[in-house]
Amino acid sequence: MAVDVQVARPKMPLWVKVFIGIGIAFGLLLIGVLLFGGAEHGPGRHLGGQGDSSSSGADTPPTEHSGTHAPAPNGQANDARPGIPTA
Amino acid sequence: MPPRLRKVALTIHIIVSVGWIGAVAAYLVLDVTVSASEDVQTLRAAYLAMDLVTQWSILPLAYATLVTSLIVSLGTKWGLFRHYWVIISLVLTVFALVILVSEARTISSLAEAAADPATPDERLRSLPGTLLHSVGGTVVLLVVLVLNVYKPRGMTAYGWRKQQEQRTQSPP
Repeated sequence: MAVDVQVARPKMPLWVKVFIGIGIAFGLLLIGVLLFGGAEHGPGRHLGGQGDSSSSGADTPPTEHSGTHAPAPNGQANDARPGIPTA
Repeated sequence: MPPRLRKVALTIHIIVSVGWIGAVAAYLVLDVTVSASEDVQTLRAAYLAMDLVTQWSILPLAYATLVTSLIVSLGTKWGLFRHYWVIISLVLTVFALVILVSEARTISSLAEAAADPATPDERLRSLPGTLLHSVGGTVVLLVVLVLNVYKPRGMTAYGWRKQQEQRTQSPP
């Protein structure tokens, strides 16, 4: 005896909705950082004049992430690094 | 895909994807080192090693993971767009790869500066690490790993349609 069973289309599981929510939140956070964080996010933020070592910009030290590093051994703040070309 | 070939593809996929996580773990050690160390010799060595690990281990394994994941998903019943866990894994893998390719350029620049004997010690100490990205990348890879092991339920509308088609076509 054949039984014709109508199978309902499955709904999106909760865990997928949670993943999508996290993804949207992360995307908005990234956009916020790019818009209001000085637009310094990206590979170029670490080294000025990247890819052209002959340019003076190649010697420019990074300006970001300094806070994650230990201060210079002589007690100087990281912003007062030797070798920074000042205008 | 024939069962034997499918097993070979799956084995290669597991090797390269777990290898990717292992290579990132090794990279993390170096990244923590450049963030914490003040020793110039250690910093130079660590930046150079970070670049080598990235270029010769992490990047090839990441590309291989993406290629083998496509082969395994398209060559098996799981498909590429039939199950949510497959789609999310793919999206996360591509996202991790894009960020990795972008970071690889930064890491090469840092290694160049570290390899240059003319780079002053103070500047070397002030070079940044990439800890935020490497920790974030590790989390993403572990999420993908968990998704692939647990394969949580959830079929997409496309997957459901395909399943219905197969049921109607298959003989009773």
